[in-house]
Amino acid sequence: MDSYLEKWMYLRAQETWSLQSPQSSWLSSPSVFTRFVQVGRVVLINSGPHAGHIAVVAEIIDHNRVRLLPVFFQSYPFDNTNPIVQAIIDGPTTGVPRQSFPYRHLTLTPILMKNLPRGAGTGVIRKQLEKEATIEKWNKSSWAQKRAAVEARRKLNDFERFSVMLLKKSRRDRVRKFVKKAKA
Amino acid sequence: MTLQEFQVVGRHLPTEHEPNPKIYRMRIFAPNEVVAKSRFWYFLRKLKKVKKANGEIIGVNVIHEKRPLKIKNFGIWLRYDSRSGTHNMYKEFRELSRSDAVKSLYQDMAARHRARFRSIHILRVVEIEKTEDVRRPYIRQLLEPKLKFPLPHRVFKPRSTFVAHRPSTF
Repeated sequence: MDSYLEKWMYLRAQETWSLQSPQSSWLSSPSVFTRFVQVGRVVLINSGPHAGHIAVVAEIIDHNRVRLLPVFFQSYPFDNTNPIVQAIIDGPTTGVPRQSFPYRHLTLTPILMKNLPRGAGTGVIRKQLEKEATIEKWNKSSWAQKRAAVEARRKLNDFERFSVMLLKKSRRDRVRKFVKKAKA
Repeated sequence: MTLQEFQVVGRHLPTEHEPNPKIYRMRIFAPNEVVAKSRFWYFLRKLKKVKKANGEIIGVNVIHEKRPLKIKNFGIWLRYDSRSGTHNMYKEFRELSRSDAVKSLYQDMAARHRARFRSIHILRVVEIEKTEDVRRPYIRQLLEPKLKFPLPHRVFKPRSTFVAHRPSTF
């Protein structure tokens, strides 16, 4: 029983310490979280004219805090990258301009750019993006591919949807025939 | 309501006693030019013996932020009338422009003290150049060199009002 109490008190002490300095606890101790708002974090934009594109956090502006945890957020600027698989659209790759953006309209991705200095310029970020092949990394991820597939599927017209239906039917047919043969 | 920073220049009308009256210039944060001019007269008649009836406005210009993409820390001195008295205050903000900082100040004062636009006077807005000069802990904590933090409570709103599954908000 005593050991439990000790453990509890120890945890409480840790907790109060982490409440006193929230960042140091995020920085030093291992966290259950894996994706952080940090310089170099690749994010997916959820709203606005660049919705569906990815961008990189160049610098953190602030957070509106509830107590000491950053729960409700404000803006931070981030920098240009390419849109997600926009091979469908012709023309040069449209970049996201450097701007401030609320966390509310962003999704953090697991991709993190290494060695990006805080507040790096657009040119530096572009170079680093090419060097680390970040955009290819994103395009290769199953998340991006799924998004692209959904996008492609949504853009189909009536006839194309019909063709997909036929193709799926023929696939089903072949699979079933093969399974039956294998079973027999 | 987005705020802009205006430079308003005005003076007393020339009289026989004073053919060349002194020219006054103010930097005023206001949503538009009309409000800026109104605030100019409001402050000038508090400070000097000039009012709108016996004065004129020489010019109104918008002051644009020099580097609107650079993040700056601003210190703002203000004076506001609460329900029981007048107080002076100093607050800090981390924003991209002076007018953004003042905008957040008005929001903050409205939220924390229920103070309206009319009961707040902005005294000074200064960009804090050095990190050591940042006084407030809520801004100081954002200046940590390798700052990072998670987003622990994300609530996704569905696109449609009618969805198959009830949203989970915890």
